Amino acid sequence: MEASRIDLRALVRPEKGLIGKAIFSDEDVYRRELQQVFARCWLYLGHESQLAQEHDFFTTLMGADTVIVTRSGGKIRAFLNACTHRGMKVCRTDRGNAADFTCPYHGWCFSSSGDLVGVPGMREAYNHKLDTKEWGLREVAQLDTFHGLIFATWSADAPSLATHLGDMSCYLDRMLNRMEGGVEMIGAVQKWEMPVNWKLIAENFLGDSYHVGTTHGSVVDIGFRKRPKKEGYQISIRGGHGFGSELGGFGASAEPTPYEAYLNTVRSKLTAARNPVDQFIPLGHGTIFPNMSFLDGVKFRMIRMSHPRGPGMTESHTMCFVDKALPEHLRDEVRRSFILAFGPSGMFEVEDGEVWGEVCDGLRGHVASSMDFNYQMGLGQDVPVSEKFGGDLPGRAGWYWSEVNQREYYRRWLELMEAK
Amino acid sequence: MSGLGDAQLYFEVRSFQAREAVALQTADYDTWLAMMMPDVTYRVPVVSVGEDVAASESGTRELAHYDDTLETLRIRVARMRSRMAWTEIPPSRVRYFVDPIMIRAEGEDVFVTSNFTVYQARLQREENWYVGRRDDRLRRIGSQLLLAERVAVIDRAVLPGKNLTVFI
Repeated sequence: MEASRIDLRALVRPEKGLIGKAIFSDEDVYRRELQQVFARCWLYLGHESQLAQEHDFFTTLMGADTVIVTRSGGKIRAFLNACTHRGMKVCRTDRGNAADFTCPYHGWCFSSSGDLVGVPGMREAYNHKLDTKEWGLREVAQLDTFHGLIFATWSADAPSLATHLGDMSCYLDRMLNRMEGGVEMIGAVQKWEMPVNWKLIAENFLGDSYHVGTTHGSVVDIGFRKRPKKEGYQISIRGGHGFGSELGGFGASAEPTPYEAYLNTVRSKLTAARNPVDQFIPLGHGTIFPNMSFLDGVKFRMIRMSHPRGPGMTESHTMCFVDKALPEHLRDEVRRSFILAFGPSGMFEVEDGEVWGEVCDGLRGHVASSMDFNYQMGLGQDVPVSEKFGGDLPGRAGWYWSEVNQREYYRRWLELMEAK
Repeated sequence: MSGLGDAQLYFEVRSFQAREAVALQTADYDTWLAMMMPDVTYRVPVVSVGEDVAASESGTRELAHYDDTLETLRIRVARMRSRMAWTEIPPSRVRYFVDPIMIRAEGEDVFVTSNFTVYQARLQREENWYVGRRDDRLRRIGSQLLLAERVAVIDRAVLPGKNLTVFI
């Protein structure tokens, strides 16, 4: 089936709470996503602390494209990791420090600012006629940061990062900038590849508090996590972003840990400012459209990227963050709590993988893929956030169990997929 | 002397590894946890691809795939025994192949480096292969050896599969 023959508008009907399952398995829909979503949207690359020194670099993915992110002349830059001659990856490590990158195929050499600075046989083979200025590494069209998080887009026409984040900024600010000095990354990025369509992961983090009691029943069962209170919110932001949580933060244990006590002091300090957005500290689970998810709970904060590698495969990257102001012993507690709960072996995360993998395995058949998923939870029940939580807070709020976030996410997805 | 110690020590280490393999393959976690010192540390670092092989494993203050104590291993085991632990309902079939390549006794400690292959078959056709190196420190307590410290390094930088649910 060609993408042009799939009527996406007939499949994706968020206003009715119905999404055709085929968008999670179809190869042509996937190819179109790479073009319409991943080559156009702002995507999260990493954190500034990964590039502390001049010429530091790391490699990551933008959609299915591999990229090198460098610090060159003090500036953060990002390039397609492909030699402009025959496409060989010019960098084959995850991170390091290098002033230049030499292609192992024919030896073209590129500086950390992407310039083509060396071509074997420039005189004998090219007669000095190769215009090296034209053949530097392909650079992203725009790159910007938000409280240390690096984002980039391949689209010169994309509106600014601030516009892309839109009304989400004031909430995201409370995750990244609630203590003086902001956040820093705990070293190392966990990576694993899951046989799952990337959207299933993004939409789970975006707005699925509903699954906690069942999928994560084992963790509740043993008392590691308190039974969810069923009082909370899902908040949907125009543009497909969103987040949700139990009130007061998710993931609390029966006995508060020292980090939970610390979080209470952070909150009480902020109370004086009487900023209504502070009631959402910690934010909860969320996704920045299209594939940057996060958790901000009472035990840790993480960012989780879902990089597509085909309709049925996702490369997950997770990073853990702490306030720079956090005392050292609490930093280690956060690190350990995170590893125990999330990441590939995390007691919560393992169950998510188990479920998503089986959902996707079940999409191979014609009958399954011609059916709809149901997103009708809380349909028509959402209200302005300001109405429910005061102030002039932006967004629409649903109850703790609501699919309001997913409906806006797929509305935005369809809009981009159909865009000229 | 060879890197595998004397015959007696080699046999003791192999016996320890065989008992551990049986315990893990049969989900007999009580036996497995009883093979550990109360202050055991159990870590599976994150591996990244770099120019320097020695620096490819994440440090003790960085993220890891496991960074556990006896207490947190007990919590993980308790979870796996829950009636809602979907990752083991129905149970996986797991095999451990462990080969010591270096054994060195030092006082009450025995340092053992091994290569391992851990195979997990899940449901009908799902397979995960974990291949790597274990650095163990075993402590001699009376007539038996107990695990005091383990760093298990899985060589694949991007882990395979939807989750990591086996102990390495």
